[in-house]
Amino acid sequence: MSLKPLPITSYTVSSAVGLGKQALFDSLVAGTSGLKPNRFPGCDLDTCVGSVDAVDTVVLPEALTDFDCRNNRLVYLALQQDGFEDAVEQLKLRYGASRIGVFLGTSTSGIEHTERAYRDRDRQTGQLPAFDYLKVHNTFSLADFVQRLFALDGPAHVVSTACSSSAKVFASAWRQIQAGLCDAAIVGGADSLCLTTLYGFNSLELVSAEPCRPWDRHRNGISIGEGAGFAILESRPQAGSGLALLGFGESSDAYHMSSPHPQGKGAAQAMAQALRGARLAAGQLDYVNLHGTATRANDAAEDIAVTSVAGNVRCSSTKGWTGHTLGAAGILGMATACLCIEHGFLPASLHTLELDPALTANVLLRNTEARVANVLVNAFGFGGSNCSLLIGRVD
Amino acid sequence: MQVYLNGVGVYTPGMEDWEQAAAVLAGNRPYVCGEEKKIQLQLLQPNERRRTTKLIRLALEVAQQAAGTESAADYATVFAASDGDHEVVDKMCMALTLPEHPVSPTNFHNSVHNAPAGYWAIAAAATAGSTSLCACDESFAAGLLEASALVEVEKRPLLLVAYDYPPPMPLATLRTMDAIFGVAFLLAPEPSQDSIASLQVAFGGQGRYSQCSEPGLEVLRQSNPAARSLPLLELLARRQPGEVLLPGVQQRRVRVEVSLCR
Repeated sequence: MSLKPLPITSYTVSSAVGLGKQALFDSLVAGTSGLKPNRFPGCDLDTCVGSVDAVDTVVLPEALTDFDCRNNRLVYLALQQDGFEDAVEQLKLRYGASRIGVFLGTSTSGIEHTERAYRDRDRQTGQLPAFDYLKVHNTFSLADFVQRLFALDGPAHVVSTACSSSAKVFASAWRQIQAGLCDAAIVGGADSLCLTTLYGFNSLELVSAEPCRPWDRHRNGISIGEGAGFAILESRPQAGSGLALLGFGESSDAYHMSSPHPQGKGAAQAMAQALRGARLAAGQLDYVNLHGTATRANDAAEDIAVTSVAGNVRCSSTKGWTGHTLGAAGILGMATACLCIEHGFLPASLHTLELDPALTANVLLRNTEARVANVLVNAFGFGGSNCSLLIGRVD
Repeated sequence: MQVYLNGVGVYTPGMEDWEQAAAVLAGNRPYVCGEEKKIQLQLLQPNERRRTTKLIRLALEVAQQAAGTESAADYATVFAASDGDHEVVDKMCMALTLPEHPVSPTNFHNSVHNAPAGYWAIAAAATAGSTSLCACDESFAAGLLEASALVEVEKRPLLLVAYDYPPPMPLATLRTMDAIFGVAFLLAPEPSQDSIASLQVAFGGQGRYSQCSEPGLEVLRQSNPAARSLPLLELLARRQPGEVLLPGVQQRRVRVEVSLCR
């Protein structure tokens, strides 16, 4: 199925490398990573994390304090960058509050708050301290927060498909706009540091003690990060950005809950579908922003998928800058793709010192200047959930 | 958006499949909340079946009922639940309070919201796209919107699965849910000999949402977010064309107009 391109008229991103898209671009150009030795409260793992320390001092608007948790603070902080709030107000004037969809992704939402409640429970009765669970921990919390913050009442949901979540929301937005349910959408997502993911990935022996090294011969796992990002998709083009969602692909591995299909079958299916949707040949791709988590199995499977679908296309993983932001990985990848197109720039795979000789994808080891028109963004998650986005230019 | 309904799955104690549910919802049998049975999933291999939770088994049970045995591999899927898996959240958060934080790898991979979808894909060898979504108590209506949009725009058959299972203590003190309920619809873009009804699905409006006329069923409707589908199931069971308003996000409604195919 070929797609009608959907203009991306605004976007913003915040992660361990800084707040706003300029911070991400500057760190990509300078090669400065946001990963630091882990000091997350209550976590003694020997690993590096990509934390957004500014969330600690974020104060939510008074009417929305019931939503207070690390994840929603990160959402609010990210929304305040790059004039995004103003862009939403403009959007409301153009389409009306009930014609704007909100489709966001997260994997763990506000679970960090519930973790603390369990630590603080009454040791005699087991009773948890009271808090508004539905506004804090519930998976929908961040979309509810965004709808209330901007007084929007269009269609909304949160996609939670592990690490593909904030990529898949682009597909939801495209469908719901095509079906006439809304005229524009706020998409994106957020995931914040929590003990669940730190100790959870550690239980699977997937956490590296050093900053992650995608595609490296000696790669040994992920660095967990936190991040949030948002984009506005509109049915009508606006003067300015010229960026658009050209295609997307979604597939299921149907193979294993926590390991990818070893030949990257589902990943390849998603990438090929995104190309078909955009009516592009693989040779027209300028760059692939890899999911590239730096686990042995994930990179090996994605390597086969990328080379089988797109041959020698230039690619890299930017997880070395931000860490793996899990449910936010898709929107971080999308923002990176937009920066590549806008600045004519391709980032290296940071911390990749020696490419794994068993892998054959054309992974960039140096930042490169290039004309960039079409970028594929990969985001793959547990449960075999795969999503690829094709970001490009629209006239 | 117009979609065709080709299969229905239901599970709640007292109505364990669509045939039983239809008899109750049509008024031919009284609703009696029965005992919860242990759901036996023949479609999963034993090593995977062992790792499933009650929520996962509930979702797969109704998915299997609606999908039947043929072509299940071809369907795209939308899985809608009002939250993650509370049983898993409880186990994880408890483990994190202990020395050494002994989180089980199985609990961790089951903690993702798309765990039921992942197990379904493995069981049905379904490699099409799958979206697991949440809109809190309005998740059934949000799932129906996403599912209908995909069927209408992408012109492919899709399995919609909505399911919620009450949280264990102590989470139950923060999140109230008193009943077990799962429902699944097999939807298609074109009518066929399998079509039961056509559904016109639209978002908007702020009228009063539909309720169940029988008090016991109305209690059930309010006791589980997936059971918000009951007024729609009632129309289907009574083989009655008509319209229902389902509760959607931010006090909006999702309107579903039912026309019968056979």
